[in-house]
Amino acid sequence: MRETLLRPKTLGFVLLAAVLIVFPFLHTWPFFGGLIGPFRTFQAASCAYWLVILLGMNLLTGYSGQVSLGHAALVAVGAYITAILLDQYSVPLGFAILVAGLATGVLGGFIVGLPAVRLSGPYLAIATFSLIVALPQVLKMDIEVAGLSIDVTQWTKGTRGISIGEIHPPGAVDGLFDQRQWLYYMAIIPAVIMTILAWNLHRSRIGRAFVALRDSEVAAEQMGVNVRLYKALAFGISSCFAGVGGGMFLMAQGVISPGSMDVLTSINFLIAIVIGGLATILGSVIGAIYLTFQGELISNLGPEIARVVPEQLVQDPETLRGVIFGSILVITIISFPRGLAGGIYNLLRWGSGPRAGPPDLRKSLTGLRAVALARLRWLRQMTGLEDGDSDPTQESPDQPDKGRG
Amino acid sequence: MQEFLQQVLSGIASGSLFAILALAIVMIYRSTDILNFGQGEMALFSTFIAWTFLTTMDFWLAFFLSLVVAALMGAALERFVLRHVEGAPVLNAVIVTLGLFTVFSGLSLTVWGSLPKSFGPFSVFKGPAMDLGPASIGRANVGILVTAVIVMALLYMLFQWTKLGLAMRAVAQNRTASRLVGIRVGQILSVGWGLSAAVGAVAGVLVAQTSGLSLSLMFDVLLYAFAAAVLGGLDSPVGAIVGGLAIGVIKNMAGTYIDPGVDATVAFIVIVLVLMIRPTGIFGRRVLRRV
Repeated sequence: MRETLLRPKTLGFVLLAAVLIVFPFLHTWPFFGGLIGPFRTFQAASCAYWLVILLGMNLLTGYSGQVSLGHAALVAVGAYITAILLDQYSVPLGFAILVAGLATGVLGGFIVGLPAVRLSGPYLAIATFSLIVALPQVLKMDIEVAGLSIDVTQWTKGTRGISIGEIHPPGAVDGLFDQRQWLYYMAIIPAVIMTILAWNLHRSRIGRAFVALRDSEVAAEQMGVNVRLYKALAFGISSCFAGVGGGMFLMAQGVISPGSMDVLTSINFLIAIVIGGLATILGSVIGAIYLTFQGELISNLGPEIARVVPEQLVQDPETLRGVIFGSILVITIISFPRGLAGGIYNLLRWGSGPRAGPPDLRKSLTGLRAVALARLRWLRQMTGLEDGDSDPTQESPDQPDKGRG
Repeated sequence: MQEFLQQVLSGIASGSLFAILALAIVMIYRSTDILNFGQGEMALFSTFIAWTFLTTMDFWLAFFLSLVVAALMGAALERFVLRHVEGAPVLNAVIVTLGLFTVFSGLSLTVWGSLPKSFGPFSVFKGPAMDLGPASIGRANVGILVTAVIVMALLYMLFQWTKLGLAMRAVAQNRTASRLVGIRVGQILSVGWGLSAAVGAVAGVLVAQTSGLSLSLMFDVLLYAFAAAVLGGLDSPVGAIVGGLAIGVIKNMAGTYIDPGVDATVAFIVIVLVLMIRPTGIFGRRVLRRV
């Protein structure tokens, strides 16, 4: 028992759990108070809903290899379902989020996933992109076509959106937490649950089927994976995560409107999981941290740049923010081709064993070639075609590579 | 009927803008399999350069000079940025182009500020609307359409009749085989990016003819250009033009006959329906999958 507790992995998780539990009170403690303000508690809650959304998106894009550029639309659907349930039927919040997750999952699986089965690569990306481009118009739709009136605004309240206000701790625990701390726990609990779900899923039969699909559809089919079913399923599960994340987004923000989720948010989701690391849980966590602090980072960049860049050179140095931010993005992805999570894994396994992530095809081919050449040599020696010293094949392996570059 | 024709013509006019940027997107996709999200903002940047040139010289000179600058810029981007993600997962290249999007919109803001600039219309694009029987179409839009067709014809000639074009097609089809027959693949890719950036610059100058030059000029156009490229088939230049015009017309029709508030929705529903029937677009080649 003692030994299992002291294993580094177990210890790490216990430590992480402890930090997650005490985090909202850290700013009241003497030492940490100077480091983090109370606002960080709210940011941690934001981080939690981004995490849930990105976990789902990583399942779809990272594990099953289907690129979605319209994920923000699914998040908005989840948020709207939660909001309508709270606003018009006054169901309890937790139940509303659960229903929103399941409903979005079913919607995403059948309405988006089934048609998407036929598409792949950029065609799928643009087809899903159309969801988020069309979404604001659909939410504001109040039209009459051929005598049929379609009024979505009676549910969605049009441009204004639906406001549910702040959530407050219930009477029993009112004195213990303030509003932000309560929100934090309400967000962190589903985030932990969804993370464990995603973790287990990617090691299950379904998760392995997704990976097989991503690596080669034809090969997966040969191995008995039902391609259409699993592709749609990936969309369904991913949408379910998006729905729950949407509900949590609404809970934290207190309002959802057609402007809450736009094209740029959707694109940012993709950036977040690729920068974080595709097909890893850690990648989703890093992505969620990126989404949480991205805005703050960009606005803090301004004054920093102004300090470095002389005014004679650029009239208004703060306008360089976009340039710097874009460059950071480009440099990061060039330096860490498998995302920051891939970089961290490589660092952890530095010097011990093979590197993380999918194998480098070129290297494994070289390996195969070396084995083949060794066999050939051996055969020739056995059959007496040559004596062991002279070896005509010795120099050939490197030659094709020299022409490159 | 007359109104219907008029709406078709207006749709074609706005669609021509999508078509020409879609052409630039298709050019890069054909040779490198990359969907360039930076295309619109690169075009915007080149258009601002054209605007700067215009303050000291006449339209045509400024126009062609800006094309040269854009082409050099595109080639340099391929050589010094995109080359580094070659061989990495496809999504990495997409993220790099998204980074380019941010960089170029930021650069435009830094260099030229956020105030809109007046840009044209220039003599060729000016004049009364042209009367085509029951309907009419603006002179600028005719100019844009004609330019789009000229650009496409030039590209067609380049691809079919020149050695460079042949090399570009070869690289697009099979990079390793091209390298083996002695084509300098890196150079060809740079040329491809340069050409595409130049076509994008043409698109930028044309779009600015109708709506003036501002920072948000290309964003909507880019969205619909992507849709157009996908609708026509990402590896087909003809598809890009047809797709662009089709989206322009559908969007205009939906706006007029259903409701102005649902034009984008209807346009994208049509695109998804078409993709259901032809998963690689109208003119796109079917790709055989191998294990």
